[in-house]
Amino acid sequence: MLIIANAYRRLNMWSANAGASFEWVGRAINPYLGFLTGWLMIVGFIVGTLSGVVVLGPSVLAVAGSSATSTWPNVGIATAVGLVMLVIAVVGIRITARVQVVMALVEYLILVGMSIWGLVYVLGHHAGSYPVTSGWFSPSGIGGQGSIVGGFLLAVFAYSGWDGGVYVNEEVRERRTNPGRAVLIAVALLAVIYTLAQVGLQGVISPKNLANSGAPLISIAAALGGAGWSKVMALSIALSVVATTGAGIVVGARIIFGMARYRALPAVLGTVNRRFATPAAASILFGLLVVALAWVYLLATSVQNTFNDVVDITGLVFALFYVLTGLAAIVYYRRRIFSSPWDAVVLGAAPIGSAAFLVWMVVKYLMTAPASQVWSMIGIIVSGLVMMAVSRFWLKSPFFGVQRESDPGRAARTAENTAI
Amino acid sequence: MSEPPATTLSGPGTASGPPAQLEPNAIGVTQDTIIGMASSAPAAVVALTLASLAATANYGGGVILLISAISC
Repeated sequence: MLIIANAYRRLNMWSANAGASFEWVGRAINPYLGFLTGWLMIVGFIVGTLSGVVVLGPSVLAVAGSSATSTWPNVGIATAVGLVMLVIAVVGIRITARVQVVMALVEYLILVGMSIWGLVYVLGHHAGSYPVTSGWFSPSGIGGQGSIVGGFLLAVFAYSGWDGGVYVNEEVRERRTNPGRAVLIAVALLAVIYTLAQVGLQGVISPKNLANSGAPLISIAAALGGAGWSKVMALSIALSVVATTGAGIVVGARIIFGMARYRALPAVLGTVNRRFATPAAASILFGLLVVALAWVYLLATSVQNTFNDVVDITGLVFALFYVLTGLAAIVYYRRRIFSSPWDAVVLGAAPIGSAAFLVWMVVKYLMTAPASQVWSMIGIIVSGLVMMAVSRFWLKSPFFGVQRESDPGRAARTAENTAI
Repeated sequence: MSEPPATTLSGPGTASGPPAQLEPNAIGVTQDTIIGMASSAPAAVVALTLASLAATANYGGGVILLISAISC
């Protein structure tokens, strides 16, 4: 992810726009591919936000000590959280950021603290724990019997969303440089948190109990410190989902705003509220869509399997637009690739390798995925093509007429500066 | 230090006078990082993937997470 994150950093230095990959791919490779990239981003963030909202209820109800399976309390919690985070998103990016920081501090303190506690617990050989062996430090696991491909797929799913910081680039101080730094730092911190949590918590309970638990983190917290700590862990999960709902609305709205500004989506979505200086129309559309879909999911159980198929391939959707963004960086900076060994690696070999790796994983997954998930993926792409036709022929977006751009390269820049 | 405006194409906003803009310079790199991390939902993701990653990678998930962070 660091290599793709670096591609985001480089492209943001070229053009710091809310549409980000939509524009970068469109202007560096092809506008039609750019639109499809934007569509994948919107779908990815809607489904990612929705998947969090619908699992929020059980965590909150667990903290409150209520039945986690009651439908209407779950609907009420999803609606309340969606609407509150929507209001915050509309009111301003500053208040959004403050709320996010407070929630993150509590969430990460609990998660990291419990992970360290878990690691100490396992290393202390407590009864019922699963001991650390050399297999824990091999990608193929204990006895070489783990699935590396399956593991990487789960890892890609876990990291999905790190790019959220880049879509608010127009509101960040030093907007050409800081969003790029933010995504690199985000990936690095997520790597530390995820690795620590996996290593620290996976051995607290036996493999059998871990596999059979409906809520593994809650079970692990209970094993560590009893029922009270399981509620603390549930609070961390709930805060995580609330935070991702808020971030999803903010980020998704800016992607929509970035596309609508070029009439690739209805122009009203490309407007900014003068009072709050936020893309209010796009935020309201995104927020209400998430709440409405949560209602459908929670109340119409007949569609839950379809939703679950889409949720299961969210990581693939993210992987696809990460690939396209990596390719955009290669194409845009192509004249620099042969200017120095460092550029050859950072702007050429590394992004190509990363993109190839992600494509391989997507293909590998789809080859063994259930037909319903494959059809869900096809559905997402076909719906993007339909929206592209609407944008091109009905909305008559000027985006489809943009000229391809590329970095002039070091030699051209040097010649330009010498001439001046 | 003030920055030049981001590159823009002609669109509906630019056709009819100066449009309202997103608030520039509103947040710093730390807050931006937190927004990015929040989009990934760490605690919720760990809740969802911990057991399946332990089972799939046969307890080698920690190394896989580190390799993924660097190699993609």
